[in-house]
Amino acid sequence: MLKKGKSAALFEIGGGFEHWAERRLRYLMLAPAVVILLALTIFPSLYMFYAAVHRISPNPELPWQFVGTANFARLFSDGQFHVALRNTAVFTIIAVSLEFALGLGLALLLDKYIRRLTFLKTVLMIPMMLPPIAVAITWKLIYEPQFGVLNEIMYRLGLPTQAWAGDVDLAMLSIIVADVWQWTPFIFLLMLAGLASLPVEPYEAAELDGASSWRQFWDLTIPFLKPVIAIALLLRVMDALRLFDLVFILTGGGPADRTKVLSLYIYQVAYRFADPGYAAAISLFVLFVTLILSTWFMKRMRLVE
Amino acid sequence: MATTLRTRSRSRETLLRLSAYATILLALVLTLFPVYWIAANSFKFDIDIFAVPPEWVPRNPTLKHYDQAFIERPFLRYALNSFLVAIGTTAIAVTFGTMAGYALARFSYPWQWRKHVSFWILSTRMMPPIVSIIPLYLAFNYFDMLNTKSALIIAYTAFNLPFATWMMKSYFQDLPVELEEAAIVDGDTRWGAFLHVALPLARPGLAATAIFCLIISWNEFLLSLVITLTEQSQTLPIGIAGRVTQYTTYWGEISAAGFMACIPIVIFAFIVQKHLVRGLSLGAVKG
Amino acid sequence: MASVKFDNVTKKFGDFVAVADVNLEIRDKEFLVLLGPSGCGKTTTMRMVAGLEEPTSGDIYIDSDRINDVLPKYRDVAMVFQSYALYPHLTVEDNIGYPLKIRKVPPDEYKRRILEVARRVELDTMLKRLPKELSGGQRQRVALARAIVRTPRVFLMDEPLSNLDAKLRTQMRAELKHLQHELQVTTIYVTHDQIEAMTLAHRVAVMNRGVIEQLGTPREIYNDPRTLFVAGFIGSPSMNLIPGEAKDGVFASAGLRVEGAGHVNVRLAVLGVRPEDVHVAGPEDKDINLVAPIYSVELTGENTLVNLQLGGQLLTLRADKNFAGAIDQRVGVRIAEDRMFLFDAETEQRVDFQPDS
Repeated sequence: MLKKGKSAALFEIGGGFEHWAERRLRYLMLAPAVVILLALTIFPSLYMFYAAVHRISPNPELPWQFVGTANFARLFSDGQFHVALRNTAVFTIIAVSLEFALGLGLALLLDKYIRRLTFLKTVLMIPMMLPPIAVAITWKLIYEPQFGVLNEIMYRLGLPTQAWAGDVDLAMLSIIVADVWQWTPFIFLLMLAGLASLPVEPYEAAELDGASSWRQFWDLTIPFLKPVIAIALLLRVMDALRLFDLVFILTGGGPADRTKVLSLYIYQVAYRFADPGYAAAISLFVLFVTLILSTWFMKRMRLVE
Repeated sequence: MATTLRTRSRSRETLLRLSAYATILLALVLTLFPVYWIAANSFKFDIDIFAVPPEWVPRNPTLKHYDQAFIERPFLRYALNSFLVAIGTTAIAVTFGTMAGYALARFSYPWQWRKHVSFWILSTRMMPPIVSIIPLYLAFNYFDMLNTKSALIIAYTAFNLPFATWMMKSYFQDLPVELEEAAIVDGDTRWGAFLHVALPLARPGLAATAIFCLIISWNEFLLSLVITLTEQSQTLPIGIAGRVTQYTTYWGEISAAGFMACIPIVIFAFIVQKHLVRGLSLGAVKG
Repeated sequence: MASVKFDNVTKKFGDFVAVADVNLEIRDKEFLVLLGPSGCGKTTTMRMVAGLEEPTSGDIYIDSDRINDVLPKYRDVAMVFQSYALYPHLTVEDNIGYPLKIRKVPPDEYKRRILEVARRVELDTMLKRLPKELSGGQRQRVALARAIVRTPRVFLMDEPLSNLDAKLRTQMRAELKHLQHELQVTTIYVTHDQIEAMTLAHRVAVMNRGVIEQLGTPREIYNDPRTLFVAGFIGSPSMNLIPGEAKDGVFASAGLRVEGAGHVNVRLAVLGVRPEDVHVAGPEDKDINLVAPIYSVELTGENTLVNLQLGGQLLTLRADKNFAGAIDQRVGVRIAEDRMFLFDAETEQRVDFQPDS
């Protein structure tokens, strides 16, 4: 029990610094992260804009040459860029659709049976945690035309063997399969979490109202899952748009540019063709598209507040 | 009538159950086979790797490739670099992310800052890393930081910090605010309430967030590929990719290194299994 | 030990005015209850004393010290939360001792005082348990012990009993009252439960929409409501409020005519009368104020609540527990005219019956 005599001291406003810091704690706690992120995102964006209006020679001795919008103009005429854009779109749409179809389908089918099998569930989640580079070399090994497992299976089934990642028509499919292998568990896991949080009563009511399970799925399950689906979709699309590692290892963008995606193209422009100015222009384009896309999506789905 | 209906639905239920378990089994095989395959090949002699038909189980198991990769070639060094970089960026991201996450979960700001800042932080997480490699490369070049682990730590913080912030925000939002209020009335400062009450209660979330940061950093490839060119600074994924050359692929070596790269991840996955859903959805789905 | 004073205190959350220009003085050693419906600003008022909210304008004093800018830790108040807010990661002992630990009380005194307080609330055998291993009532006691372990200048209690079941609540209510009497600490107690307010308080401040409608002893609040809100809020079942018109000493509404309503003229008036001041009579009796059919009859045990259909509304009266009446049966009603209140429906204030005296 605090002594009465101390009460005068109790009402001191508090030490100078303590009082100062307490009053500003909301800013002090947020500031470091904001400052770091500003430095790591806003600064590079501005710098990139600066780089994008210059011609940057591979020789560091030479000064940057101001070229105005020339690098942006190239975006319209550069056929390789259009190919990369198209490949990225194709990959994103097909891979994400497949992952959703498989992940959601499996979740609906297995929800009841796997709910308590926590260990098994975690085992099924392993692929998406693995280093993409390890996934890439694993699939490279499986796709290997001479001694790969896949061709062995084709042979056993009496089917013609293929070059897979080296085949003009199959390369993109090979990339997609590897990506689906790695990321279907992600959709599966999120959908299971969504299903586990479904309330029971509406289903009982629907049952009493005589709704078929098909109707229940469309009228109850899908609307309830919508927020989870939205988040999964956003994250997967953003991830698919930045695809790099798999392509880098499995195909290197080939054959015949069939798997050249945006990330890889930017990398090549910057380092192989040594044209950072133009690479910056493409980067800005990609940044712009992803920011628009993700912002629109996050606002629409009310993911923030 | 009723009995036939009942038996019919029961046999249907049995069928469903059987097909469900069959599907789980199939999924398990498809999930685990590639992992098994890389492990199996890492224990084979080169000649057995190239065997047609493939050797499903290594006939003459050997540790030759492990010796090659980790003793003769600098994969141990790469792994150490990966580890140090992961630790460094995780420490930064978790420290500042926890504070920022707490601030965004608890405090109010003028002009809806809370909403705007949260949103901005989330959108930085959405930024594809490729778009930052050019300015980062040029900046690190300017500051003479290419081929350093510090550069990697800084670069990785760009995506780990938003992640940690959102994760911790979601964990703090789960805590009842009265506990901190009680601490404040009991004589603690606002900061003290965070440190003595909120933080200990968010410890499981903190651990999960840290592990996720470690995993993300350990797995990162593109930034490291651009920023580091020397053995002293390259991470494990770059080391592995370096053995896939235009002319030949050192299958045994990369299988061994790749499998070793997977092991900590699998262990971590089991440690954070309860937090997987939340971690993978940036805190949005509670799981 | 301490008095608390609110001087023109206003608290806004954005555009929402939670507390509007409150003036209130809580006397030393007083048990003051802030009573009102949810959202009336009572909790906000109390939280400003703790320092958990800052007033938008106005001053708050403890004794003669203005505390607006004093950090909560230097205010020396203790608070019991509705959810108890026990630290789940600390044992009962450490929960109770937390305020002492913060104040760096030496270990032997720390132990001694925890034990002393724990004995007082009969928790001395559970000191090593975690909150989750306790029952609701025990948790409540831990919260209480944590508040009294350092004898603060002011106790703040935010609906501390509302999470307990009915029986335990009655018991804890008595214990609280006794404890406050023993400790002689100024207490501000927030509740929406009028029974708690009536039984615990020295004085009650009834709040509504951020404003203190009336401040007075429980008896004053009950017997002499100053506003329409207080009249309707206090009492269970609540006071009958009948809209009508008062003119030349007569209050008239559909189906009801009461004389002796003073000499005031109020065009939009409300007549208030408590159920226990309305009495059943025969439909043919003299001096009855009205005759109405029975709408429903509810036996509560100790008496019978009878609802009568009166125009478009119900008139509730408290009758003897042996009252026997059937629905639709017409009964006469006599209203205790000295127990009636007249309110102006527009200002919502009481209108005195004899303004010319």
